[in-house]
Order: sequence, then C-alpha cells, then structure tokens
Amino acid sequence: MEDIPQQPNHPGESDHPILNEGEILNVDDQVSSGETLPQDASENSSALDEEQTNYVTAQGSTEQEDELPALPVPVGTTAFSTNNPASVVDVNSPEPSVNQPSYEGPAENKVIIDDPVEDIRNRMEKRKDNFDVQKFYLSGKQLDDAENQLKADLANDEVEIQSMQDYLKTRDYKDASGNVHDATTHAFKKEEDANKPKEEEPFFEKLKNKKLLGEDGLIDEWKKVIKAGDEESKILEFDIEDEILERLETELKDASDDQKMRFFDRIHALAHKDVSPEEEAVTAEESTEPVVTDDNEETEQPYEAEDPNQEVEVPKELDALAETQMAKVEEEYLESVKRYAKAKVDAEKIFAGKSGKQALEEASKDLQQKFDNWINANAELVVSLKSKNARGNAISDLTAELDYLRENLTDLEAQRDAGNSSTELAQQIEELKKQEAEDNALLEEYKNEDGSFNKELKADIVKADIMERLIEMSKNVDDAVLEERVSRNSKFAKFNNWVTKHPRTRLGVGLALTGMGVVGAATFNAPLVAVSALGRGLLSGFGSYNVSRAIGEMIGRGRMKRAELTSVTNYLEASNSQTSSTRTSKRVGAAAALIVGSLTSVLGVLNSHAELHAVKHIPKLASNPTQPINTPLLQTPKLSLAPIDNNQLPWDYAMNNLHTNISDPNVLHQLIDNKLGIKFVGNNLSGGSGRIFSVHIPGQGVFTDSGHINAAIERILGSEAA
Amino acid sequence: MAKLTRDELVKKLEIESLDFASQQAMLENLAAAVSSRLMNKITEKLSDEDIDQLNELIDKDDQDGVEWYIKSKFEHYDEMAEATEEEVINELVENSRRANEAIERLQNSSNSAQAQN
Repeated sequence: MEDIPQQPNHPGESDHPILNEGEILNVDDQVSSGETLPQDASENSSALDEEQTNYVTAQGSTEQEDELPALPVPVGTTAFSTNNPASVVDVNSPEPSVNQPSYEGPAENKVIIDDPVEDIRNRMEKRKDNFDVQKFYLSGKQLDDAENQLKADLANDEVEIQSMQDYLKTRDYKDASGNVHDATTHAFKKEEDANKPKEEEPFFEKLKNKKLLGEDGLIDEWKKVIKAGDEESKILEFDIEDEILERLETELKDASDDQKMRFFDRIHALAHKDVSPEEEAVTAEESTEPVVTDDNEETEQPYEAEDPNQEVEVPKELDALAETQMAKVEEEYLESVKRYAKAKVDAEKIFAGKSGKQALEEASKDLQQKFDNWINANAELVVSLKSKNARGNAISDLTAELDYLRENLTDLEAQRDAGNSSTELAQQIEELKKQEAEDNALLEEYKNEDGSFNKELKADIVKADIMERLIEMSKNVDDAVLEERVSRNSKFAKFNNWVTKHPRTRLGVGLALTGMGVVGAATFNAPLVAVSALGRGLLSGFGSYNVSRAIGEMIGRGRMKRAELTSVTNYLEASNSQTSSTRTSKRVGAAAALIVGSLTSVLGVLNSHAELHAVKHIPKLASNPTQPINTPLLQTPKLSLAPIDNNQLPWDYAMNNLHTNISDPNVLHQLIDNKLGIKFVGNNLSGGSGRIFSVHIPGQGVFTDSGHINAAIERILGSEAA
Repeated sequence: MAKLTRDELVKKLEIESLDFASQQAMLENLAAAVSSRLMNKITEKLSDEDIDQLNELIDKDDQDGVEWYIKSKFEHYDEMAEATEEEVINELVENSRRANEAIERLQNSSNSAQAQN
C-alpha cells in the first residue's frame, strides 16, 4: 500500500511541496496535467466519488471516508497560506475557494439574432410619415379611413413590440448598437465578448474570492497601507505583508496586461474615494451580472448609442440608379462650367490671341455636351420616377387584373353556357364575379371627382421643378464667369457686392421682372434641403424630383452618414414599394409584391429595381375548369403543403423551430427568390420589418393562415439547404 | 419682345400649376439669373478706371450716381437690359422644351418596349 501523501489540513503547516506545472495533488499521487478544478464540487461529484473510491481502496479503510481528498490545484499556480508565504494553502480550508475555472470548456458560440424591435419602431415611424404625406392628397372619408388604418396599424405594432420583447428576454440577440443580450444573465455585452469561454470570468470577482479585494473595494490590509499619492500620477505606495503581494502575484501571473492595469487602476481609484458595492458593480467592465438596485430590480448595462454622423461607405452597386447617374452628370456639368468660366475670362485678355479663343471654343463645346448629358440623365430620372408613381401603379394593376378577370370569366361562362354544370365551375364563376366587384369598388376610390383617372399626378410639379433647376444652372454659368472675373480683379468685388445688396436698382434686374415686383433674390432650394423638408424623403408621386436629386447626390458622394443612409433607405423603399391593394397582388399572382431590401442589402435593392422594370405576364386561365385560377405562368412544380403549427406566427415559428431569423435580409431574400414558385405577399417586408400576409403555393392556392405560411417557409429553407 | 405681363411669363415658363407664392419664388430665382447675366455684361465692358470711379461712388453711398455711371457706359442700357432678360427667358424656355421632349421620347420608347413584350 502506498503511503498517502500527507494532506495539508490546517493553515500554517509547512513543508508542503510547491507544485510544478502539470502536477496535481491527488490521493493516488498521480501526476496529471491540464485538469482544472470544477467550479462547484457538486458538479463533479462523480469525479469526487471516484477520488473517494480510490482513496478508500488505497486506504483499505473507511475511517477517512468523510475527509475530502485534496482537489487538484490549477496548473501553473502555487498556493500560499495567509501567513507563511512559503506554505501551501489548504484548499480544503473552511472557506474553500469557489472561484475555480469552469469545466465547461469552450463556450458554444451563441446563436445571435438581430433585434427586430428596432425594425418595428422604424416601421411605425414610416407609417406616420406615410400618413403625413397622405394628408396632402387625401380628404374626407379617404383621409379618415387612412387615419383609422394608421391607428390600427400602430396599435398592432405596439402589441407586436410587447410580444417581441417578452420573447427576446429569453433569447440571445443583438440590439441596434451591436451589443449582445445574454439570455441567461439578461445583460448586454459587446459582440466580441459574447462568445468568450466562461474561463474568462469576472476578474475582480476572482480577486474578491481570493481575498485580495474586499466586498467594499479594498480589503483592510490595503486600506491600512496604501498611500495613494497623486491621483493623476497614479503612484501607489504599499507597505503590506509579503504574503498578500505574493498572493497577488499568483493571481496576476496569468492575467493579461489589460487586467493587471485595470486592477491597479481600481486600487488607485478605490484608494481615493469610497466606492459602494453597487457603484463598483456598475462601473466594472468585467461584471456581466445584472445590477441590482435598491428596489431589487435588475438593470442592464448602458451601451453606446449609434453615432448618426458616423460615415458608411455606399455600395458601388447603387451607381446604376437613375438618381446616382443624375448626380454624377450634374457634377460633371458643374466642373465643365468652371472650365468654361476660366476660358471665357482668359479669352477677354488683350493678348489672349488665337489659343485663347480656341480654348474658349473647346470649353463651350464641352459645356454644351455636358448639358446634353444632363438632358438625357434628367429624362432617365423622370421616367424612372414616373414608373414608381404609386397611385399610377395601383390603377395599372387593378386595370390589368380586371382585364384578366373578365377574360377568364368570359371563358368560364362560355363553358357553363355550353352545358358544363359542374359545381366547381359554378364556384369559380362566383368567385371571379365577387373579385371583379371588389376590384371595381377599389378602382372607384382612385377616381377623381370628375370621374377621370389622373394617373400622372403632379406631373406639372415635376415640370416646374425642372424649370427651377434650369434657371439655377443658367445662373451657375454666369456666376462662375463673374466669380472668375472678380478673382482676377479684386476691384470688381466691391461693385459686385454693392449690386447684390441693392437689388432694387434697375441695374441688376430686367425691366419686365422689375414690373412684376421681383427683386432678384434667389431662393433656390439646395437638394439636400428638399430631403429634410419632406421628412424622410418619401416618394409621394411626382413631387419628389428634388428629393431624388438629393438622394442621388448622397449616393454619388460614395460615403454617407448614418442619418443620410436612413433617408436614402427610406427613399428607395418608398419608391419601390407597391401601394396598391394587397388583394391585387394576391389574386393576379404574377404582379408579385415588390420587396425591396434595405440599403444594407444592396442585392435586394437591385433585384427590386429589376423586378420593378420587368414586364409583367398575366397568366391565362386554362379551359379546364378544375385547374386552379391562380396558376402562375411559370412551370413550377405543384406542391402540397400541409399547414404547420397555426398557433405560431411565422417569425416565431422560424425562430423556435427552424432556428432561423426570417428578418435577416439574407434569409428574406432566400424566401423571396425561392425556386419552388412560392410567392409571399406582405407589408413592408424590406429589411424584415414587415409582416407576411399571405402565401401563394403553386398547385394549392393562396393562403393567409400562419400554418400554411409556416409550411411554405419550412419547405423553402429546407429545400434551399438541400 | 413686347413687354410680358406676369401671367404671360408664368405661362411661358409653364408654371401655371404652382400657387402664387411658389410662382413668385420662381420669378425671384429668374430675376437673380438675369441679374447675373447683366452683371457679366456690365463688368465685361468696364475698365479698371471705370471700376475705380464706381468704387468711389459706392463709398459715398451714391446709388443714383452708380446707376447713372453704369448706364452711361452703354449706348442704350435699358434696351440692353430688356434684351438680356429676353435672352435668358428664351434660353430657359428652349432648354425646358428640350428636357420635356427627351422625357417624352424616353417614355414612349419605354411604353413601346413593354407593349411588345
């Protein structure tokens, strides 16, 4: 029988070995390496049991069964008693350290979802902005209906936020600032810290447990001996027992430089002031525990808000937009203006000669060319704006749907008249008639008071906006020449300023205009002013020419601030969203909802543009009356999906059962661009901030219940993964 | 060009659909553009000595004196000013016509392409 090494039972005993790296004390005196201690002895009761068994076996006696065998000491550490720096600490002392590294090993990477509450709030703001715009062109009952709809939508959004927040309390998620919420501790951490293994437990907590820091910040020993010195110089003088310093050395041996610095900073700060435990907890960077206030309510760590002035790079793919091209052309035009101005004033010199005149001629040609480019880019932009005219699109869609319905109805009625008396045929005819009536009613809403449809709303305003821009461009040229002239002869400056300040002089203004009471005070709206004036730059029809120019300028700069990014995103979403009735989209099928990704998902934006300009095919109903009405033109396989869990909303179902966040732009596009022919219709699905209203499943039809939507989502994500 | 009335000018610029205040703002901008054109024509004609003389008058805050001096440098200043105004307006109307024609051409072309599909 081997002698069992003498275990240190009491503090103060000497002559116990200092462990070398890799050595542990155990009852079998086996040297093993790399093993770390359990956080809680009870967690590794099986290990202890094994030790106990070994002990008993080795001893052959049960007398010492109640004595706990020595636990392995962490690798690379030395243990000290409180009094004798050379002695070994009794790890079985009355107050064993519970601050042991976890056995859990590397923590699993958390599944972190994005906080969707922010998106809901943004959606609510957009609803309000939309309503503000609607107030300009709606009135009477339409306006009341719109207001009631807004209230109902906002109320629904609030309910959604509340349920989302309740749900999020139990999830790991990333908020708008990029901080990660821990489902277990309910605290927020920076993302890079979220997946750190638990071995990196709070550093200061460990020091407290090692009696190197007290509950109130400083242990008595520190308090007695610290001379804080100059607060700014961070000089600390200690006169403290060696044992404490050596124990400190042990704990700091494996600490990072950052942790060491923070420890000393903490000591220094504590030495200068009294710090309450709560304050210390709040300011501790290491603490991941929720802060408990006097009311015993948990509060969360504050985190930095986003800086709205932070610049982000604009994706190059947005260069293709008409707005961006317009901005580029305008910039080139203005550069050409400068060259022209210089050439013109050069040519006025007495000794300008032939070369001066030639340079002026070339500059004039270039200016003319750049202006022609402007004319073309302007046309592209306006036509692009026209295609985004929401009301016009709604009228076009409804008209197209009615044409389709009437055509199919005619076919079906012809079959009925020919003798087909099947129940299905009769049902289909009835359904089509009902839809026709609904669409007619909707079309009525779009009629003007005189009964006409004015598709091209506010076209005159665009014309006026263009005229204003042309006036400004004309002034740009003359101002540039004047500026060039003044810069070369400062004597002109005084005169120029004087005329500006005395606009009523007949020198500065044409006679006709003078007679009209104008004085020549230019009030051109800078494009970016137009954006702020219209709130978030929502497209309300044609009156957004200046806004679109402003958007183009923002994108054309290549970088923009976060606040501008929001404006541009809202503009692109608003300009691409389909505002016609969702029923229209559902029934026609081919007129799929236009879903625009946010600016952060450029591919979504470009896809939406492609979709916007794509030609729409209207499927023709086959003569077979049993064929579903909503058969899409494309030959996609027919599906037969049974509803799944109708009690869960699609987002919940995807998160809980598929472990996927369908608000994520990548996932959203996967759903939208699926190869199964499944079509979703929703409200403001861009960026995942909306809601799916219905799903069209090829071969089955259109469904609005969560069960079928969930089934469709699962089918898509499952098949795409395969 | 016969002197335009306000209504005639508004019609010529195709800004009838705007409200009065917006029209007025547009006309102010137009006047500023005309002013810039006029100033260029004036400064192009003035010599250094002329400028010195003008600056003296400005220092004395002699507004009438400045006006008289400028007009004396042009044989028929009022006609020149009127012609400049007309020139700017006509340019704008022509440019606006080109811009709107380009829009219409592109729109028709786009509609044709869709119809063919």
